[in-house]
Amino acid sequence: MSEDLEFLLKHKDPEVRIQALKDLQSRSEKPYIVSALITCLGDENWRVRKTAIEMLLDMRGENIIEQLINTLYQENANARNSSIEALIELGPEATDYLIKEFKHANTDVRKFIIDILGRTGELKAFPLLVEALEDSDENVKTAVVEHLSSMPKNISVINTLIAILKSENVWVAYHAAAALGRIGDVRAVDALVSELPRKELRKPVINALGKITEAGWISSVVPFLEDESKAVREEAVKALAEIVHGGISTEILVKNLKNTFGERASELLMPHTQSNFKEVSISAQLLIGLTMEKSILPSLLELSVEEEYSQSVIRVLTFMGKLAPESLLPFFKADHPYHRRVICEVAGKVKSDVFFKPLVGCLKDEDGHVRGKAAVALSYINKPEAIKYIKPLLLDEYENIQEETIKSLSKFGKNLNVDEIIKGLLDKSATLRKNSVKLLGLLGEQGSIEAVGVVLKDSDVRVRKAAVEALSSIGGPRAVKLLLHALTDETAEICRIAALKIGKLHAEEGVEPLIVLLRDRDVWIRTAAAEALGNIGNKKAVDPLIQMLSDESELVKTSVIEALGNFKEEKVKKALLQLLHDKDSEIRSTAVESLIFFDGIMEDIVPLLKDGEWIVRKKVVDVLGTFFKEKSYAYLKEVAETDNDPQVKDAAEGYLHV
Amino acid sequence: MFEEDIIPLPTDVFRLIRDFLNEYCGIYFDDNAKYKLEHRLNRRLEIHHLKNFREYYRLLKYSEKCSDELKHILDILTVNETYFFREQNQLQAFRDEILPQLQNKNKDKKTINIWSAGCSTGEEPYTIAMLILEKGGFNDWDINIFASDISQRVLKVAREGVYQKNSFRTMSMYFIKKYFHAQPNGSLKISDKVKKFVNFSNLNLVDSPKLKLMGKMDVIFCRNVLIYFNRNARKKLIENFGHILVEGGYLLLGHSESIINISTDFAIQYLRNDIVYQKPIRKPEATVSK
Ligand SMILES: C[S@@+](CC[C@H](N)C(=O)[O-])C[C@H]1O[C@@H](n2cnc3c(N)ncnc32)[C@H](O)[C@@H]1O
Repeated sequence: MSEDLEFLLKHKDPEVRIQALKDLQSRSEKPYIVSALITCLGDENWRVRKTAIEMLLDMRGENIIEQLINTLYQENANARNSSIEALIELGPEATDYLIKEFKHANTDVRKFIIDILGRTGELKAFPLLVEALEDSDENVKTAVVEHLSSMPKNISVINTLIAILKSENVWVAYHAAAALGRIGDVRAVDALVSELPRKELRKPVINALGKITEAGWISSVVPFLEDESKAVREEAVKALAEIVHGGISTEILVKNLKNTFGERASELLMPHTQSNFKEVSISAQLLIGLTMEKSILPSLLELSVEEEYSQSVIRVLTFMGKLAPESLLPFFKADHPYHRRVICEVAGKVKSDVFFKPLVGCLKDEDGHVRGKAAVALSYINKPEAIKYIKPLLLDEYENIQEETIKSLSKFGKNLNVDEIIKGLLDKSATLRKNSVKLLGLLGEQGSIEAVGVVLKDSDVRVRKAAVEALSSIGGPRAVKLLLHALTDETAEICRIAALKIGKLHAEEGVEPLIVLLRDRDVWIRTAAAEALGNIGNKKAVDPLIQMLSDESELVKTSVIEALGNFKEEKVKKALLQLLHDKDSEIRSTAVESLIFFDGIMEDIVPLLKDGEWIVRKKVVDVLGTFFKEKSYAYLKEVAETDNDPQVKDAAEGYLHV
Repeated sequence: MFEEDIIPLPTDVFRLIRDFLNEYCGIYFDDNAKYKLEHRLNRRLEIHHLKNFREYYRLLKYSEKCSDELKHILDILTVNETYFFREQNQLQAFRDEILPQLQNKNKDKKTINIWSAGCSTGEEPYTIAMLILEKGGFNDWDINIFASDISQRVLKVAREGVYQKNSFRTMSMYFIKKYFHAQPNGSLKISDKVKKFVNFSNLNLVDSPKLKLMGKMDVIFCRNVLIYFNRNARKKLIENFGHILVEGGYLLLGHSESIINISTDFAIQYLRNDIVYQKPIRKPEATVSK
């Protein structure tokens, strides 16, 4: 190292020291750089330390790992902490070295190593962590337990934690329970329940059970709502509310509350609503709802305004509404529009006739969402009288409310008067014409085809577009004929949608005009024509489609590739294989998918397991795992072991276990 | 919405779209956001007549509709939550400690440049302007508050400067009376004497070339924006802030945001009211001799 650098690294101004570090790279040999960087890990200024860490991480390598481990033994706390940080960043690379070092390390360093391994969460380190539970030093043991739960969700991890849970040492067992809760695996339920008699473990065990979404523990936890310890009672309240949040087994919970406490349940829960802990108080409110205590309704509605609780509240209200629908009636007139929305949604789920009138009232609410939700709810109750009240919303000021109205009305099916809807096609309001066509489409009556066909010439683009969609959902030969006309519409988007719909209907008559459209100026029309030809599957389209593989637009190309996947011909296979080497990853991965129906392609796609883009590798893994099962075992195994992308790796592992 | 109509967002495509958005604007949607993306973007698929999210991804990746579409997406997906006088301690540090320093440091050129990066609906830059007006002593000064955001929708609100109750949750009547006019419908409009200091513009903070065109700033407020970014995007942005700030300039982040783990370009300053980041002043001898 040149002398000026050495001098500058000791300069009193941290700015100078940082700059000197940065200059090291260009001016020194690697061993010098490393030793200077390691020294700077102990610098008094955090920015200097941070710079050193980052530079070390950029260099990596065995030598660096060893030096970092040596630094763990230093007196200087800054240096130790910096190397801990760096080793955590290095992650799996450092795991083996750390495990080896643990055996000879002193107490302090053992604790650091546990911290690092715990933060990295490598399964490889798990046996060591378990072993260290018996460590002679308390601090090391504490560190182990804290980190156990960050281990991956794996059966051997869970079993080991269950064994630790039974330990005489309350402190160790306490942390095992917490870890099992954080892992949240059903397999731990029985073991946790069997520890409930141990008073000192109750709180963590109930807490852990609450994190496991499963009904099996409910009956064991309910009695603790009356435990002598307030902390345990509160824990039980929270855990049981998790059942409501999870949206499972509400009935089992209710039955247990009733069997255990009878009418007293709400009395027991009421004091918790005043808890200083928000979570306890919210949980209590939800549970009280399940006991059918109506006085809790206003606070539940208040709670529904908070996004994270709204689904739980809706569940509880639906439960209450099913048993006592009248109790919800006053809230259709709540001040807060959000409360009215919630009540309308609940009414739709309860589906009681009692709600008919108030819902009809809500169709005129000043809040758009209330109107929409009321229409939807009425469609669920499905009393034909509702139709005349809902219909005016076809002209609502908000388009999304109009959409909900159309869908709601369509649920009345045969009870709707089609002729009257057809009259709407002639209305002077384009919005009503559009929405009437949409409704006819959803109803799908052949009898309405001619009327819809006329609207294909409407002056308003939105109406024409709706007509094309309606025709496609009505279907049949006459609809196809009309759709073919729409291919010549002056608006590109209408032509595009018509092409897509013709493909959906597998209409052979569409083949010739669609082949012509493959050459259209508009990218979206070419894309749609290709997709439609693929859906129809007529062989006449093969050559024109292959030619389109040289289209200038990738949008068109991907669509053509997908379309070609429908034609099992040798020349198609040849063309698709070439695309496996395309420079664009989306093209490569689409080609992989399109090749799945061809024989003998495994060897062709396997090289793409080394593709630079994760999505391509993932597609290949999916294809191998789904279609080549045993034959591809060795390849998948290699991916599972070596791929550096977690998602690709997981997918490969998943197929291996099937 | 009828739940059965929802087009599902497969995990792989979620990741493609998430990475695309991250690249574009730095915002990172973690796995928990999948449900939100799936539900909020469904309407976009319907509007474009796309049958699945893969096609939507291709629209973003390949089509000329991409830039318009991204605008829509950002309007749907960004969190724009903000209010006047958010994070009082920090504002106090700005008013009582940073401003006096600037008053002294810039007394010759009598100019102060402040940037509110990710200003949302404008409450933050207007708050800064009000603080400066209250502080006084800047009468013949050139005070420039640049305010920028990626979302056009919020900028429209900001330029109009009309606010509802929610924006005033921590503001005293004193400021309301002094700097706002009541509107017939009960909302409040910011007065022109505040407005004239603030210049709004549309800017993507990830667009490094554009950022290079910003002039030098004395203070940058970038609060509650970085939390939505991933590490890489944060790092790049902080680096750019480093170039844009004058030496000794301040960077003020939201109170849950820290750059300790991402950059060494700033020093931490312990002011009386808050802890802030400062771009170090390079002393002449601080350059390494070659
Ligand atoms: C939660 S608001 C913060 C508003 C204000 N700074 C405050 O603290 O109250 C975040 C804002 O950052 C904006 N934003 C997000 N990503 C951005 C980007 N890449 N470029 C510019 N603005 C962005 C969003 O549009 C949003 O308005």
